[in-house]
Amino acid sequence: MRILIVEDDKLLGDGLVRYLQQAGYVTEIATSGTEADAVLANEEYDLVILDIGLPGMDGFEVLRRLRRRQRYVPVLVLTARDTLDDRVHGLNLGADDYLVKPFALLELEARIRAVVRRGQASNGNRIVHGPLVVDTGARRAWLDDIPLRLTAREWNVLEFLILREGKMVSKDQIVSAISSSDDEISQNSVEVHISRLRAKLEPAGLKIHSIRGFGYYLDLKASTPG
Amino acid sequence: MTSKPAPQVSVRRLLFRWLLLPLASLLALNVAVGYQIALYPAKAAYDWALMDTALSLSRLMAASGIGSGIPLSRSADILLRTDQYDRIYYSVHDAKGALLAGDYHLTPPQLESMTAGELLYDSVLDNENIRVAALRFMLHGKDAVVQVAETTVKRSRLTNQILTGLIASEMLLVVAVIILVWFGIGKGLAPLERLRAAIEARSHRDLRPVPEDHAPVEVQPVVHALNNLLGQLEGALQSQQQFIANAAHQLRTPLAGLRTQVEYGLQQRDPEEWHRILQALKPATERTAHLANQLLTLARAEVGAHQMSSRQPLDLRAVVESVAGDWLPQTIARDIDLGLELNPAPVLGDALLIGELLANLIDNAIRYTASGGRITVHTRMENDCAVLEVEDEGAGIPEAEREKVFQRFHRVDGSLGEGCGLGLAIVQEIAHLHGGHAEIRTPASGAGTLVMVRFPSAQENHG
Repeated sequence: MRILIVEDDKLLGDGLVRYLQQAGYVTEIATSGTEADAVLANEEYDLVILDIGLPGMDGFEVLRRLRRRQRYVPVLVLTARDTLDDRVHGLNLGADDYLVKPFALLELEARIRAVVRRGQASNGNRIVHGPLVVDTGARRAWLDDIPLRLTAREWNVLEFLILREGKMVSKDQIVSAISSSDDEISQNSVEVHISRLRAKLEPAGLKIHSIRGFGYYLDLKASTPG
Repeated sequence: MTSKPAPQVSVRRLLFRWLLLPLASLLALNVAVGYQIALYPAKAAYDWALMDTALSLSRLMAASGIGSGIPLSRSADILLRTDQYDRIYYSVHDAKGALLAGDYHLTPPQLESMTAGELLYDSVLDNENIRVAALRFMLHGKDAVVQVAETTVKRSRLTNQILTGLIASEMLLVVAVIILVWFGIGKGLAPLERLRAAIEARSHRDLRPVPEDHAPVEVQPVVHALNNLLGQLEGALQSQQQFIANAAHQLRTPLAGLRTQVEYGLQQRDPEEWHRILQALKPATERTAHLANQLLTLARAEVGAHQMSSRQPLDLRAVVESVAGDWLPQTIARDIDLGLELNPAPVLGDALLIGELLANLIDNAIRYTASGGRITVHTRMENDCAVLEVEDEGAGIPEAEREKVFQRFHRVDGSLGEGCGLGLAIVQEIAHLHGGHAEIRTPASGAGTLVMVRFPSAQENHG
């Protein structure tokens, strides 16, 4: 997976490149907005990590010009500015996620996976989550290369959790996501589906954590980049 | 705030309007009354003189036998008719209206109308206004009427003179009043002007109170209020200075630690030692980052106090749902059981700041809760307040410390040296900014800490 890092701070840029390379990503770095714009016009990447405060052309402008071109690339914005206006502005311009400096590298990696995954899932692609491989198009999943046997409802719950990986999911959300007009599902039956999913996933080290009184959270730590 | 500029208020103009307009009407009234008062005695004097002439004529007639065929002597006639300004007419009629002497065209009044014996009235003769004095008297044993009349030239002159004199003196008075009021107001406003100059001459750092005793009594409340404000500013400035001093210490210390470790590390050759140093650097950088965030949040909360525009209807429940997820990796890593018991709690607020408030509460709770412990976040409505609570199973905060922990840079004695002592100060600052209040309580279980933040509910504004 190819990532373009646009960051003018040498220490941070260098740290990101080294860490992400070690984590198995292919990285390139651009240290100014103009350079990033030129590179993005010619090369194709799977993800852009974009700083906003850049010399010359700022990150917002790079993003605006990138989105004017046809091909879609997920963009994760990094910024030291964290006012609501900045966030809204960035997301309005088409950023996929937003991370405020300073951040933990684990957090960055989780966001990268989530952003890329959302792009893949919307294209009906395969999602790789550590030992778990999910094909949203074919509605099939594999755990350690062994096909996972899931009921239709279990599949729906798993897909919902995978697509919101790294985010809290409430029981209400799951209920409304997997219920249809002729098939009303209760919170209790969600709990049943979750406990069955846990029984199938936990042997491979994948955990669905409970948030008391609220819902669930799919752990990221067991996963590695694809 | 309003788009229409407020009309300028001028004390001078105000005083002028309130002094001069009523004064002008009063002066006009004064002219009218003065005119009447001056005119009446003057006219009465002329009337008496006219009546005296009539009386003289009647005596002369009675004494000299005029009227029974003897005409009035030429000299008497001249005497009677002589006047500097007016023409004089006279006539004597008997009871039957027959002219006994004088001018035939002076019509006699009806005797019956002269019960008082004398009569003064205005009339017209030859298209001229005349004043007539008529006197009834006994002439040779018979009723007779003597009339003396004069044109009104000197009366008109008198009227004009009185009126001119009055108006001239009143005009003089008006001019004098205008000049006096103008300068008087100037004099009266001079202390204000001096006050303005004294305040304007100050530097923006000079927050000493303005001397109140030099100000006029009327302005003293204003000066007093100004001094109160200056006092508050000075207090705020001092606490800010104190804050900066504390912040400087808090920022420089971890940076000094980082630098020392880095410089030491560069002198080492042993990878084991490098790894140990890097391990030590990690929490230090995390603390510094945390502190920078805290300081910025505080600064933003202070700016927020002046910007009500970022406030919008939001639900504490939604804020918790959007923020709590950020802490899941930490609670999971420490095997802390996080519970969210969320009920609708609408408030009017800044989502980012309330998010920071919650982040600080959860951060504290995680910091002070042991592995395997429980943290619970509640949102609900209670007595018309939107309530946010974060409850942990940590060591708890002693009663005596529960107020102090909300002060900036205050750290509970014997607490783990982790936090920077700003978290709860930020919580309180943001709560106050929203008209709310934060307090420490003991959880129902009897152990740990419960921070309860109450906000005024936005419910009444929306339904």
